[in-house]
Amino acid sequence: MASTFGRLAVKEIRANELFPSLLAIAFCGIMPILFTMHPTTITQAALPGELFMPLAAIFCFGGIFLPEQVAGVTDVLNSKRTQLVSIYMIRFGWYTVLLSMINLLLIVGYQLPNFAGVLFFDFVTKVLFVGSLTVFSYAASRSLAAAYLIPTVYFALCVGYPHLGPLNLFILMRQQSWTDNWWQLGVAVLLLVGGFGLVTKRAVRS
Amino acid sequence: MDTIQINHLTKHYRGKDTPALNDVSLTISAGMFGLLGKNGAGKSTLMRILTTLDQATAGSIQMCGIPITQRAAIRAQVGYLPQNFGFYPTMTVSDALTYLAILAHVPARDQQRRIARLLAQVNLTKQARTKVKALSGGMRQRLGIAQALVNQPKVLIVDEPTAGLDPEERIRFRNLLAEFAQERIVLLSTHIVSDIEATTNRIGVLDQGHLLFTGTTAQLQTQAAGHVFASSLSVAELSAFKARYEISEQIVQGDTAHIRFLATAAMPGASTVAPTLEEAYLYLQSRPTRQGVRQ
Amino acid sequence: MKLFWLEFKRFTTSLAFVLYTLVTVGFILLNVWPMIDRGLATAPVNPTARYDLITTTDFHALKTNALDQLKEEHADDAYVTYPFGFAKNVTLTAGAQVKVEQALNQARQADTRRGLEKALGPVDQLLGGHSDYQAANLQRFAVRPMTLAEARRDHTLIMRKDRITGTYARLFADIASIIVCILPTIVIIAYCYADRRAQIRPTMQAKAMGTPKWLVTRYAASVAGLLIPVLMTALLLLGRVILLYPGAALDYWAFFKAAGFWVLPTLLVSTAVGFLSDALFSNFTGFALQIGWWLITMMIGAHQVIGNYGWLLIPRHNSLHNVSFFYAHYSELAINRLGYTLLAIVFLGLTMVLMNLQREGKYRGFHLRPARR
Repeated sequence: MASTFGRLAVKEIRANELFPSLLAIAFCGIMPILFTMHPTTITQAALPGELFMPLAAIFCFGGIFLPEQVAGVTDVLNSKRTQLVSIYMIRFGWYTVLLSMINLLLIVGYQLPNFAGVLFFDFVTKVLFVGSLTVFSYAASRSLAAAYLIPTVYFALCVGYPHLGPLNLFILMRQQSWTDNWWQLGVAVLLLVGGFGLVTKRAVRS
Repeated sequence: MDTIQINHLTKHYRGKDTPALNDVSLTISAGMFGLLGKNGAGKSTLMRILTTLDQATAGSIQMCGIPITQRAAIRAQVGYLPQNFGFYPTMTVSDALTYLAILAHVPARDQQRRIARLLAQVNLTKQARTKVKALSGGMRQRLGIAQALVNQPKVLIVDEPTAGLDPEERIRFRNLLAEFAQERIVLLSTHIVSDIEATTNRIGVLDQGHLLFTGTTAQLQTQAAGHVFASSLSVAELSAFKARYEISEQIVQGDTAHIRFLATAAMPGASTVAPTLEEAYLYLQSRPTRQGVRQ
Repeated sequence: MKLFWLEFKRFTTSLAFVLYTLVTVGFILLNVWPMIDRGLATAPVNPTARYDLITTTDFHALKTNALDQLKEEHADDAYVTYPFGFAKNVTLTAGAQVKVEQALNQARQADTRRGLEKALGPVDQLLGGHSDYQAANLQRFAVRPMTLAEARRDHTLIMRKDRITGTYARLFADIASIIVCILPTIVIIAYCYADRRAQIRPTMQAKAMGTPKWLVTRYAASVAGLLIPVLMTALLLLGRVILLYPGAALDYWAFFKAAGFWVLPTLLVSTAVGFLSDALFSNFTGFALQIGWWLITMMIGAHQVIGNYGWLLIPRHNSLHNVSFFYAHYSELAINRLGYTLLAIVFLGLTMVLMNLQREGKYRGFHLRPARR
């Protein structure tokens, strides 16, 4: 069973996630041009993971729902024992791993052993938070545009709106406590459960 | 003169070894013309080239005297119903037709009248305010044919229009096409032989980019005459028989199978029968490759 | 015109548009509404109060700030540059440090802006460019709180030239530009994607209408729709200002002028990027490019949000003051806006070329996989 699922995951990733993943890697490839790769403070070190990676995450996670936009595919998949929601989960898992690996590479490159743990937790939380917001936005609206619109607006709010408290993405950049990430992680879990729950419940609008 | 003249048309797609169309020459005059071929035979490629949506690698086309390279002039006189026709699901039928009429440069003063007439012709008047997403498959295809006719084209090109329709809708659609073919060239592409049989006697057969045949259905049937047989055999023998011969029909009654099949020469115990169009088409298709028909 | 209305109707009744309208109105109001309550009618009188920041034209202040910062950075050998707007740490070799010291000494002698620019130019070069010492960036050192006299002049401009609404309109334009720089791209890509979902392209491409007319109509209808939430908020904010300043001489058109002159060019570009992206990639790839552009613009603009136009796609004026800067740099802003309007037209032209190629079967979108038959 596990190997069957593994084969499905490999085929799925090769068919639908390869190109967007390469694009995301290329997108992240400009980080060394934009940011200092030898930061001396945690505030500086947090910039790429808090400011840039969420945008890469919006691009990646928004694409989770793209392949089924062609009419007919959804019903075909949902008629099988492995339902579409499982495919979405494979994609979500794939992009989470991909973006986390990029974050890890970034942090290893920093050579700041004292901050490494906090930075990784912070960066992965951003990926999960943005990813879950994307999934929920799509699941609630069945609109691909919403999957990109809502997280983008949230990001824009984080840039300028001061009243988001522990849910502001730029925790370390703004010298908030790293433990605020627990709030974000909690919300991410709720949004994910809600989002995937909604996807399972209602057939995708074609 | 209202003809489509296709001369030595070849289409190569990048990255493909075999051409999608290979030196196709064909003349189509007014009335209905059926283009038969399997899926992937090159029919849709030919349709796309004729509607200026794709370019030939070599060869030329004249449509009603206009070279295909004059795209604007060609588009003005062509109506096209593509394979898998669809439209914005939330638009009403009437809005959809208006939208496409504007794109087809139908003068504003004529739009309303022409759309009303077309809706009546395709029996969709009652659905004028219905949203496209609420139409049945047959209704959607009828909307498709209405939009293709909105510019009163000299040439109507329809690509696999009856696929997925129920028998009643299929017959209704075929009748519509036959009606519209009275005053223009209608090029019907299909892999369903009965669609051709019911609408026209002038056909071309495409296979792997080659034009295998062009002429009348009677001529095609004549080619196959003497190669179609009827016989009865036991069900146990059926598998072995199928491996050697192309069976066009089989009716099993108890232990006996009554079959019609294709072969190159007469066989003992089998009687020669007049080929149907489908059998003639099968014979043409299988001639170069199948062993059975050559025996 | 009928095609325009059909497109407009289809566009404005889509879920993507409804969502766009809600979040755009929400975003603008959330950021601008609290600032509207800051009263502007009372003239400043307190000589000891700390007034808002302005971009001063005072050379002495600029020079002092610039040299103070350079002195400190030189002492620590810890410089900051801003390639694409993002802060980057730079350290220099001992030889380069000596050259910076020489430049610093030379800059101390400078008695004009030109002289200062000349003296600090080599420092920017040593740092690899994009530093505050670049001639174009020196203005960043010219920001300081207003004096009472300056605050009074500022107030006079608000009351007489801006007629109050103009002041709020600048802030509105600043915030609205941020959001219309990115969201329309998403909405348009989704709008064009609907063609693919409905399998409508071959039907439309085979019709007689030329690509330019069709694309321009579609573009115009989209822009008209995308402007709706901007105009709606303009109207709401105008209403609020009217209520807050009964009897005051207001410029009732200020918000709408800001929407047309300041916000619209940004919206024209992000909308054109949406169409271009669809023609190029046939998917949401263009979103990644636009959001990259947006972020870089935001970061560059963030260095001086109270008045920063230059060639920013989102010209910044996140302040209810610094009014004289606006009027002094009005032509710079106008050239910026005209430039981006032209850029949008260029993008639209490129889209047209690509769409024509697609229509003739010569281009099938940028894919890593082989093109489908």
